[in-house]
Amino acid sequence: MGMKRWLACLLGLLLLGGCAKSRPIDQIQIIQQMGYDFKDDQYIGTAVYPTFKQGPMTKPNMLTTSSPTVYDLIPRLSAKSALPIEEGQLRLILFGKQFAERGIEQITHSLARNNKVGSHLFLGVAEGSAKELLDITAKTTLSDTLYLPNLIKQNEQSMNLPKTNLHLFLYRYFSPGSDPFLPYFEKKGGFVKLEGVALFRDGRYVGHVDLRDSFLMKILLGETKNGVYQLKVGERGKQGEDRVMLQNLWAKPTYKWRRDGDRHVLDVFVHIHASVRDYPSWLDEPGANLFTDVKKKMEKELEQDMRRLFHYFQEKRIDPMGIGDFVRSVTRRWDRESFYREYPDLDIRPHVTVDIIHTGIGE
Amino acid sequence: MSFLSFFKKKKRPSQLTMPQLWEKLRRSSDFVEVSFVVGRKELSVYYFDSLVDPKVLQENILCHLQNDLSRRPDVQLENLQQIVPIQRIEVSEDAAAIEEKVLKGFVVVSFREQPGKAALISAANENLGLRENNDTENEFSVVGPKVGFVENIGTNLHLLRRQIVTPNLVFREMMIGSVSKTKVVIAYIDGVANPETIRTMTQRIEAIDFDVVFDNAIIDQIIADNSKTPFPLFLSTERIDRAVYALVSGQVAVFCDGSPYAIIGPSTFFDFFTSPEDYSLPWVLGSFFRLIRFFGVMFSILASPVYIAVLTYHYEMIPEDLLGPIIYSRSNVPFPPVLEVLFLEITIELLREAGARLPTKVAQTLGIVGGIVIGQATVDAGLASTILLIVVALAALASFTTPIFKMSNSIRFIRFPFILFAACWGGIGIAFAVCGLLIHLGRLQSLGYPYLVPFYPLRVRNFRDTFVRSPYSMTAERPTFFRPQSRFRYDPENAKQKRDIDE
Repeated sequence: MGMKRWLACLLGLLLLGGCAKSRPIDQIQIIQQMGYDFKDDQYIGTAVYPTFKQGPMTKPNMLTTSSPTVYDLIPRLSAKSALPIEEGQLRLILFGKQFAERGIEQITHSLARNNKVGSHLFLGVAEGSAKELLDITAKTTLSDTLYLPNLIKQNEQSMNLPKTNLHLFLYRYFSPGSDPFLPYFEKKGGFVKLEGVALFRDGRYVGHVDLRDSFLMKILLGETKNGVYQLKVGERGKQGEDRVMLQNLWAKPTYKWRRDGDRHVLDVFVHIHASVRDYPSWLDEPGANLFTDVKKKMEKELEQDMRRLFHYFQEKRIDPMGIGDFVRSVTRRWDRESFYREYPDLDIRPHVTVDIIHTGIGE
Repeated sequence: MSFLSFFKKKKRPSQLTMPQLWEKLRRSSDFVEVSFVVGRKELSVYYFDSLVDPKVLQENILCHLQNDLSRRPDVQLENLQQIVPIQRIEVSEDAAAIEEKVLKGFVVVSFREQPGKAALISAANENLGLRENNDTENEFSVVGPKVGFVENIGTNLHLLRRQIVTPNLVFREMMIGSVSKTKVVIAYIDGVANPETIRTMTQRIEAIDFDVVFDNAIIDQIIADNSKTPFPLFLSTERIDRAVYALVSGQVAVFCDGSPYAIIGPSTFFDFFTSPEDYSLPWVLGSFFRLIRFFGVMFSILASPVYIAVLTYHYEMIPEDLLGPIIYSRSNVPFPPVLEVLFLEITIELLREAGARLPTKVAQTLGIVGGIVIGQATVDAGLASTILLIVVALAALASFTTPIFKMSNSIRFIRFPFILFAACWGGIGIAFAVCGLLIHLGRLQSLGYPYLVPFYPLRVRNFRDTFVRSPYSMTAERPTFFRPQSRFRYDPENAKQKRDIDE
């Protein structure tokens, strides 16, 4: 009896083993980047896959196909590939601007349900065509197939780009009180340049802000420890002479929702610990406590810029900062419809405190 | 079943008479029978030439019998002790007992005037053909004593008594083996070891019915609670310090004549990963190296299965920077990852097996030839990937960190089911295999005590000497899972006192 049971188990194991779909790593075509474009009523799909030559040296290669529907693109790409295409190692999906304007829900919906794709996947928008951009990176980089994903990562970790990935995109997309945003790329000569943040309303591209404003977005979204911002502190005409380069060391926003008479007011308190990285030489004049002056000017200018940014969002009727979510968290019976009806006229008041922590050696 | 009855022990009462016994023994050419007359006494001396020490026989027995017997005609077999200066002299009328003794190297003396009776004088040459000493080469430790047990049980018991200087150290002797009549000794410390443990061990050993006990390992297997498990249920050691430590903790040791290993029971799974060196080093280092050893075991079991699972099923999991090296090194390999792994694993097992069977000097060369030449050639020929070669070699290396050879063999073995599971089911297969292994380990018992204790059943207090080796100020209490009779090894309060100032 015992023997029979063991044999049955073993047989079951062997038979079930046959059900698993094995994909040995050298027998699949791993695609690492994908581009989607819309041009002349046709969808164009571009896949970047690495080929490995001489050990760690990799060379990015491209596969392109066009189709009248989006879902048909990957099967059509397969028709051009010797090995089955697997999307499990995808690191970046780039959307052409035209494609993004028509809405990227078709892709993100399918990604949301795809268990092979990690939520660390980056999404991005290209100003012109995604294919062209991927083409440039494939040509300019020698061994790095992940040029764009690394670029995004680097900018998120040490520069002005707020954190984005598939997970955060989907979170903001499905959340009733916020709208998603993605990094925005442009082609500059023979190079690809990160230009700022592309803004979405219901999965459709509606506009973008530049890298300077994306710093404001970054510090307004939550506690951060990086990013740089250039500020005008004087009125000396010569270019560059009156600007201060501020490096964020630590910044934290606090939102307050209150009622002022019959209106609602949103106070945004931002506390920045900053280091002044570069400043004009006239600030160094001895005796004068000029940095207190600079600090005041910085605070004023930051507040102004933030007000402008919020106005821009309100005009576009988008909420990438997730103000709706914040208000929902502090109000009973929050109603999406009525909140966003009032949203364009909402009184948002930024209050910035800048603490200059240090200014380098030799102060 | 009739043919099996041949092997069964027949306990019929001995009907043998003395002349019949001598007749039976005379068939062998090394049986010597000397008869001579001293004074008015006619006496015969019987012994096995191959077993007795000729020096003892001549100087202590024959010499005294010849010289003193004539001067003292009153000496009977019973008071032979008066003239023969040997401490162990017995008088017996039982032919079967005499047979057994004479086969153990006793000299039989009988007087014509006392028929049916014989004196048995011990003249066995116990060390002839045996090693005098043993450097603990199989359980080597850099610091600490290097004297190990030898094949002679008398020496082993002596070594033990030298370190445990208390009358509570009890040896209980037994005879096992219908042909070999091997002396087996159970050692324990009375008042520490649980009587239940001692009783179980004694019962199990007494119940053994076997012909020749070559080694303690045979006893180990026969008395094991579960004979189907690949894991050793009793610790076997050639180190004195380990045996002493076990006795002091309330375990029981079994010695067997002809075996340089003591088996210690009840043992837990974690006993097999402690090295005496842990106790010689400061506790921080000792604990660290012990943790490294546990990591080594896990790595050794899981490394190649994980390689298979990831490369066959879960390419999504590979970090982007590793993707290039892995795919590149796999690109020329014609086999699926399973065959690749099995090929290399079996190569390593072959090397290890061949190395163990060859003389030491040849084995060293073989290791180099096998490791470097075959490995490199395999990769160059495109039969295996470079990364796998590293993984398999590291896994093999990690399995050597286990201090007890028996356990490292089990770990060697347990890898292969894991590899099959990983090949069939990928990551979930490995998870199943790990669950299966844990269930199996959780069900094992050693002498009726749980094998995975203090992990399962959980005994948090006893974790002091499992994953980490706590400082001596904290290990005064004996592990409670062996149910020792006394709780403390030494005074815990005294051990905790700080003596920074000399008074």
